[in-house]
Amino acid sequence: MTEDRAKYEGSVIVVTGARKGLGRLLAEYFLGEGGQVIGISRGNASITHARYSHYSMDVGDDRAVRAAFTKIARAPGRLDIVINNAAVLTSVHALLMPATRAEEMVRTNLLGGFYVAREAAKLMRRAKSGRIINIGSMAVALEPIGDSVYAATKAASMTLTGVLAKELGSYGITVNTLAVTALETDMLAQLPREKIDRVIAGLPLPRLATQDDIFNVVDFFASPRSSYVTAQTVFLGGVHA
Amino acid sequence: MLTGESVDAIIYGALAALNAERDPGDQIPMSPDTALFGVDAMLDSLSFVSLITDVEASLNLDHDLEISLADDRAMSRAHSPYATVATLRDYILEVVTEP
Repeated sequence: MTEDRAKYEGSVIVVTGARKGLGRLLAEYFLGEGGQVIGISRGNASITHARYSHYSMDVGDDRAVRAAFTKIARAPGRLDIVINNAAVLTSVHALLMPATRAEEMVRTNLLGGFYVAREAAKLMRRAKSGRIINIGSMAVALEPIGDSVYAATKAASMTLTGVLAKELGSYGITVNTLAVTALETDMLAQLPREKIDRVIAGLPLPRLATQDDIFNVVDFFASPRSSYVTAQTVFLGGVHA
Repeated sequence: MLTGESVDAIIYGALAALNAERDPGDQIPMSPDTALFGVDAMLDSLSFVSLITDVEASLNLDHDLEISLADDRAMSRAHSPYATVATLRDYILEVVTEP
């Protein structure tokens, strides 16, 4: 279908956590659809493409986020879509959770998403249009043992989505959450296979998510036709909060 | 080097952008005494956010000054630096001339 080709041509998209996993998949997807992608991750770029640029930084570092978006404001000077995907996961029983790991999850998964959304919105408001898509997790609904802090940060991120949707709505910016189920990524590989299989078996649609499941919802939230869709969370796989 | 006049120009530029979207009878005065924040403010909360964001962006992009006007220091002062055009100008000059 011709109309589906290069659906992001002319769009500038920021993807956090773009070096690997879901972030990299999404960055490559947008590039394949004609978008100009700016990746952010703590490590170096893992994508080489004429329309790809990369900032190596920690989204939990407010100053670094501000500096990066100042550069983005200079060139390319606009921003259409942000995928707030950067996240860290330490899955361990609460009684064994080190404070440093708990704090890292709050800083990256919650505050990092906030800092990026805040700076992105400053750019988007100039065009009175923008899409902020936060990547959430089924962990909010399933509350898996071992994921206490991780699930809490993702729940907080959903609340953030709702408040930001109100605050940014008058600028034409929508804010939504895509709560993903398990996808074959590096993050998933950190978890015991037995635990993953048990969680998957308990889903209404008991299978791993595919890339296309995710791209489908991202396309929906990012679409110009979705200007009246904000503050929403879509769970994949039949999960519901 | 920023001067009081150049900072005034940045603030008035941001106010002009707000006025462009307001009714002729609802224009924000271009004066050092114009109240920006507080009970006497001429701006609603959304316009105030836009003003601070626009001024910050101008300082960042046009003057290469990566400063935040909404930091802890600004928010914890007994007398808000956002009260009027003049107090905002003075606060900006204070921040940008720090060693």
